[in-house]
Amino acid sequence: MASNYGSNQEMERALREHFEAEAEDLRAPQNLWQSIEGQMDLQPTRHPVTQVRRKILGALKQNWFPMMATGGAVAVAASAVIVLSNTGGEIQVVTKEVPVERTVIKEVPVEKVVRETVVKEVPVERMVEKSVTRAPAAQAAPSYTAPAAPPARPPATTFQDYGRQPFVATAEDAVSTFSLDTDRASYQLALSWLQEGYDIEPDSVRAEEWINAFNYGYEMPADDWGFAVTSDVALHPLEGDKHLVRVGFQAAEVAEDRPLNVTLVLDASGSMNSGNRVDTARAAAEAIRQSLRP
Amino acid sequence: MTDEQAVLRCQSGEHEAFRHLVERYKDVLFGTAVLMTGNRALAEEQVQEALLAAWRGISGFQRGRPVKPWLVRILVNAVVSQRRRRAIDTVPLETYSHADDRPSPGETVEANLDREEIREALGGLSADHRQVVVLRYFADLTVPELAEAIGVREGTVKSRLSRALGQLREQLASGGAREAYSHGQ
Repeated sequence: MASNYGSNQEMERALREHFEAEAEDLRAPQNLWQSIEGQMDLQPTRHPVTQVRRKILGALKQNWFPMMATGGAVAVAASAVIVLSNTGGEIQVVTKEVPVERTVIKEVPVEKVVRETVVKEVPVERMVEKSVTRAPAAQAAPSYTAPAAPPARPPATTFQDYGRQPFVATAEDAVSTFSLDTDRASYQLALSWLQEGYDIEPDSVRAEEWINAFNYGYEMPADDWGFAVTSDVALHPLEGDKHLVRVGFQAAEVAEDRPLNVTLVLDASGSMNSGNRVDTARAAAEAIRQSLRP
Repeated sequence: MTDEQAVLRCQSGEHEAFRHLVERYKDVLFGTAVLMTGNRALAEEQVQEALLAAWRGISGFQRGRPVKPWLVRILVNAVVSQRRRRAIDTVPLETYSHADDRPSPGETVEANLDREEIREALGGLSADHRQVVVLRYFADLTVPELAEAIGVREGTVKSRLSRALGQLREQLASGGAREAYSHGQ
């Protein structure tokens, strides 16, 4: 190449030209302003961005990383699998047989941990106890009003620490199950607490809900009803002699304007008795109803 | 709206006036952050963090002073403090994204090779040296502005720049020589 950077002046000129060309590829994201504007009114003295990050990280360290370490470092993130039927009036949860692949990862000790990925039947009936097809029309969605002076602590919650999952040797027990839903409530709750200036309750941090709160850009499945499986390995960020394995499942995305018959299933089991969960669920159902196009 | 008018209106709490400043300087801030860190996802976070810090500190901003060096200084602080944090708290989620490396249609192959070469040479600089080069030739700060932005004396900026330029020239010359050699084969 006939490049000539013989003097500092020539080098300077080349750098200016270089950066001018680079600038084309270095434009700020389009939505930058929107992301900033939403945070402009937060009170900086109580929770500047760095503090928020530290809080999140602290909560992660306390609950997430140790759990992954003791659990042999297997994190399963099931991506959205909400199946709304467009055929009948009932909800259909379709579980398709996923080709069981032997996942053997060489050169890392995880092969002792992960031998097979087995997808088992989803215990839907345990999650759905009673179905309600119509929300009472009289129940209006509650209007949100910001609290004038936030209380010193988050409103009472019913979280508790269920302890850690024990280590399981997959040589003896290679089958694992998980439910195909993507609940992100734990993460959303933590965010809203932080925005209101509270600490995150450690017991409220559910690793899977935090994992599922982010988009990992998983590969999409080849057809509408299958799954795509993505797996990868990383060094444990805190304990260098351990590895983390991630197995991600991605279901097909539901096209936005596909006509749907929507059946809302409200949980009315015993766990809904605490607090005002039933009212909240009713209000949510009503909010969904309002958002539907005729 | 001039920068000075925008600052004045920001100081009375007008979001729209701040938007004006954001739109004007976001590209130079984002580009600076990407060139300093090599990571778009991180850069986006840092630019957001810096702009929010600027908004919160704007009441103390002395009107009439240039806005860009002030914003760049806040950004540099955000980058440096995050670098310090990340040295301990590495979370290996897939936060990394890669720039589109394909040449744009107007570019000749040779120009693209030049770009790649310079990119590589910049990557070989120490963080301190890369920082002054990016702030001087990409963000286009003057030497006094740069000195204030990174909190060192002007003399230090000049000597870092001169050493960085020397190192770049050396690296590019040896790269060019290798290439000339391989072409001769």
